Parts: sequence; C-alpha cells; structure tokens
Amino acid sequence: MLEPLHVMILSLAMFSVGVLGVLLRRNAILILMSIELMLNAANLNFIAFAWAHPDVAGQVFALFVIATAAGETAVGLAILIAVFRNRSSIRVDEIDLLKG
Amino acid sequence: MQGFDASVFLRSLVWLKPELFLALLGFVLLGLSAALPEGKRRYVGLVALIGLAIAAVVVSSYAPGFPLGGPKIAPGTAQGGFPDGAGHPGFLADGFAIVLKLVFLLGAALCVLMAVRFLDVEKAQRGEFYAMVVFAVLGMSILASGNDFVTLYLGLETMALAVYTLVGFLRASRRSTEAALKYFLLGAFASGILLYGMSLVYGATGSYNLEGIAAAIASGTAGPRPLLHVGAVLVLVGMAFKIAAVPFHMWAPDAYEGAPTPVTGFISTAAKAAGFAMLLRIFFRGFWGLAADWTLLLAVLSAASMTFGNVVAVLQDNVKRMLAYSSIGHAGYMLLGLIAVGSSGGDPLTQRYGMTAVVLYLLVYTFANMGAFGTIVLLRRGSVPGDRVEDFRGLAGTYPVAAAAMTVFLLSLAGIPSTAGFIGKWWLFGAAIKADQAWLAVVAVLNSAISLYYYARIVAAMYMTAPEETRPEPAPAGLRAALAISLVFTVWIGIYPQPFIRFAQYALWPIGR
Repeated sequence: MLEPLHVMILSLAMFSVGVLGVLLRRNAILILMSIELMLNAANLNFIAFAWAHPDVAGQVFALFVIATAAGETAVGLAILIAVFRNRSSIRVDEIDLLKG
Repeated sequence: MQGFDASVFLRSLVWLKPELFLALLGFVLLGLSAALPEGKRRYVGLVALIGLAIAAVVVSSYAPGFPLGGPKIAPGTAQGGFPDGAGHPGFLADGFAIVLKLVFLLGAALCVLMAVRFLDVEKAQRGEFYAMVVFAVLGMSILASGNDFVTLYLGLETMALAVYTLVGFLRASRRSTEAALKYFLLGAFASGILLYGMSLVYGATGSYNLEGIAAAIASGTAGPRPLLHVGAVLVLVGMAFKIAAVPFHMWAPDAYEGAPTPVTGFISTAAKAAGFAMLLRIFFRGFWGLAADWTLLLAVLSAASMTFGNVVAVLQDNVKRMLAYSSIGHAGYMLLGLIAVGSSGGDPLTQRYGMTAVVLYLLVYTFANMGAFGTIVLLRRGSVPGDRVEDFRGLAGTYPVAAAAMTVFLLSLAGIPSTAGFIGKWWLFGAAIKADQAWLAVVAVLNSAISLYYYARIVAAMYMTAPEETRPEPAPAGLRAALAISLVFTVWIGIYPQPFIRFAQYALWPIGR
C-alpha cells in the first residue's frame, strides 16, 4: 500500500535532483526547471503531510505555491529572453560581465 | 475545522487597508503608464509619490494618537485577521508591522524620487517602473504582517517578482539583465529551499501558523525532532540568502552592481528590511522554543558576514560593488540584535534592547544607504557611469553640498559619533554586550574600523583631488529632495535620537508570543 512516507521519500529525491541540477547545470533554462522541481518537491511534501496528519491546510499551501510558481516562471523566462537578446547565450558560465 | 465564515473574512479586511490601497495604486500606475504619451511618463512617478504618501497615512492611522479615525493598535498588542482552523490569525496588525511598513514606504519613496532623473538619463522612462516599486512594497507589507508561512511566502514572492523585474529594468543593458538573471536564479533557488524547509516544519508540527508551530514546540507535541530541526535550518538558509548573509551572499555584489542605481538603493534597504522582518517573525514567534539552537547558527552567520563583507569591500574600485559588500557587513551587524534576543535567557530588558536595536538600525541604514546611492545617481550622466571611485574625484568642487552630504552618509555607515549610524551601532553592539556576547561586539567594532578605510577612500577622492573642468548641471528637484531628506534625518537621528528610539520601540512585541 502507498503510505505518506513513500511520498515523502519521492519528494526528498525530487528535491535532491533539483538542488543538484541548480548547482551542476550551466544552462539557465535547465536551472529554472530544476528550481521548479524543488518547488514541486515541497508541494508533494505538503500534500503527504496533510495526508499523514490529517489536515487540509497543507493542500491549500500547495495550491498557493503552484500559483506563485507560475508567476515565477513567467518572470524568469522574461528575464532569460532579455539576456538572450543582449548576448545570444543563456549559459550562466558565459555570463560574467559582473565580477570582482 | 470550521467552514469558511464570510463575516470573519470581512471583519479581517479592516487590517488589510494599506495592502488593498497599495494593490489598487499599482494597477492605477500601470494603467496611467499605458495611457500617457512618451514625454509625460515621468508624471507617473509623481502619482506614485503621492500614492506612497497616502499609503503612509493609511498605515499610520492604526497608531494610537494619530488624528485620523479607524481602529487603533496599542503598543505591544496585536490584532489579527484571517484565522486558521485553530483560531490563530494568519495576518497580524501590530506595532512591528506598522513601523516596518513605514520603513518600506520610506525606502520606496526615496527610490522613486531618484528614479525620475535616473530613468531620463537611461532613456528608459517607462511608468511600469513605479508600478513595480509599489507592487514590491505591497509584497513587503504583507510580509511584515505575516503570521503564517502562506502569508509570509506570498508576501516574499510578491516582493521578489517585482524586484527581479526592477533589477532587469534596463532591458537593453547587458549589465542590468545579467544582474537580473543572477538575482532571479539565486532568489528562486533560495525560495525553493525555504519552501522545502517550511514543508518539513509543517510535517513536524502539524501547523504552518507561527503560533501553531510555537504551541507545538512548547507542548512537546512536535513530531520527530530531526524533521523539525532540518526544516528550521533550511528556512534559515533561505532567509540568509534573502538578507545576503555570508556564505549565502554571492548574488548580492552582482545584483547590486548591475541594477539601476535607485533600485540598488531600494533592494539594499527596503528589501533587506523585509528579509529581517521575516526573520524576526519566524524566529521570535514560531521557532522561539528553539532559540538556544538558532542563536549559535546566527552568531556564525553574523561574524562571517561582518568580517567577509568589510574585508572584501576594501578591494573594490566600483562604489556600488563596495557598498554591496558593506551591505553584507551591515546584515552581519543587524544580526547582532537577533542574537542578543535569542541568547537573552528570557530577560525581557535584553530582549527589548535587542529588538529596538534591529528596528532602529533598519531605519538608520535606510537613510544613509539611500543617500549614498542618491549621490551615485547624481554622478550618472551621458556616458559617465558614475559608480567608480574615480568618478567621485573633485566632487567637493563641482557639487560641494552633495559631497558634504555623501561624507555624512559614509560616516554614518561607518558609525562615527553625531551621525545616525553611531546611534544604531551603539544599540546593536550594546545589545550584544548585554546578552553576554561580547566577543561578537569586539568583532563588530574591529570591522567598523576596517570599514572606515574604504569609506575614507571615497571621501579622499571627493576632497583631495581637483575638480575636472566641467560646468556641473544643476541637480534635479527630485534627487535634491531625496538627498536632503536622507541628510536631515541622518544628522537628526545622530544628534537627537529619542523620537526615533520611541518609534522603534513601538515595534516591540512580547517575545515568544
């Protein structure tokens, strides 16, 4: 039988993949996707804990996160397009005008 | 769990007046910027200023003794709205929220005053800028009132999304868009970590309301301790990113340098204040039962931020970047107040002292830092970026008043007596000593001495070199007003701080509740 603990383990795996993706990938779109994985891992956690407690509040939180994640992606892609127009690349290791 | 009660919802709205007004103002500004022709866009800035002033009045109307009507909030008490199933409010109206909202509005108003001229020089006079500043303040206001993780997270994201766009506002500039990309990626990464931490805390305690979490920790009904502790640490890491504390600071220098200068001022003051508001709320309410654990972590963050920020700032030739590292150092100083409260051992006097110190320093820092960035805006013209140390050469000859003002701002940042910064540091370092954390106070004083060196470099450039042979154009009215306000308050707080200390003390709440 599927239990909340199984969902939490899946969520931990997703979160780890997301964090590693942000740290290891150099393509900004892939980093953005990894961040989405982290947010969705948190959502899964909220739902699993809501199931375990039991309490609906966690599900409500997940709905709010889904909405803000959509907004975050929209702003992120807009910034990516602005960067791409300026330098025809979205590889973060080539974007190095600011340092010191 | 009860069902949805519309009358409770409607009654709660009375505490939401400032936020409702700011949201409306943001949409009005967006509409205006679309309706007005190209040459008249700067009037959107004027409307934004008037709107921010009205918002300040609406916020202050909750303060006792304010002539306008409506419900009042006595010092040290809290009114709440939007209760959850257990009756804990999700949205708090208390002195802390009011004081912090006024600081945010102040930072936004100074930013708008500077931006009118800056956007003209950059040929980017678009009304959306002012709307985004207002939306950012809306997010910060929700954050300052947040009493559960949903409210805090929504406020944080509202602020962050608006601020990302502001940093990348100069779409054609490679530096601005690069700064926005770095700020966005690391900010969203931090949000992800924060959110995962929140989900673990919810799992351990069964509530994401700060009062519910505190109750679960206090009664020992919080689930597995490791779950709670890991969750709390992840929340702390996410917050450390937002306030740019070492070792989670790496986005700050790039974002500060590349962002349009008024925005740099805004994110280093108002957005940082919002981060501290969230830290105070979460750690003094929700995680108060874990104070012994997080105080040690904060002490490490604080010492690292102070030392790293000030030492690396010495090496910088770009003033915006230098101020970014100095801002990392200042986050370290401000953490002293939180540490003092955390290690007070339940002594209410130390707690009051520490919290007053943090709130007072947020105010002091807003004036000094906005003023310093305002001077950089003044130097931006034609093809001169205005943010290198050599751009400040001979400023005493070309703009004597601005040079004198900049000197005062820098002395205030360094904490020299008779400026506001001295009073702020006096309270912060005093709080650390009161709480038996004298070693941190020593580290802080040593770092203030280091900071004097790089601030003095700018002063030396302004006064020790002859001005170049250019006839300076007169400073525009908005920028002059911003510099004058910052200067007057920096000196005023430095000489006669009592009213401002009382203002900061209105923000106190009985810690642990």
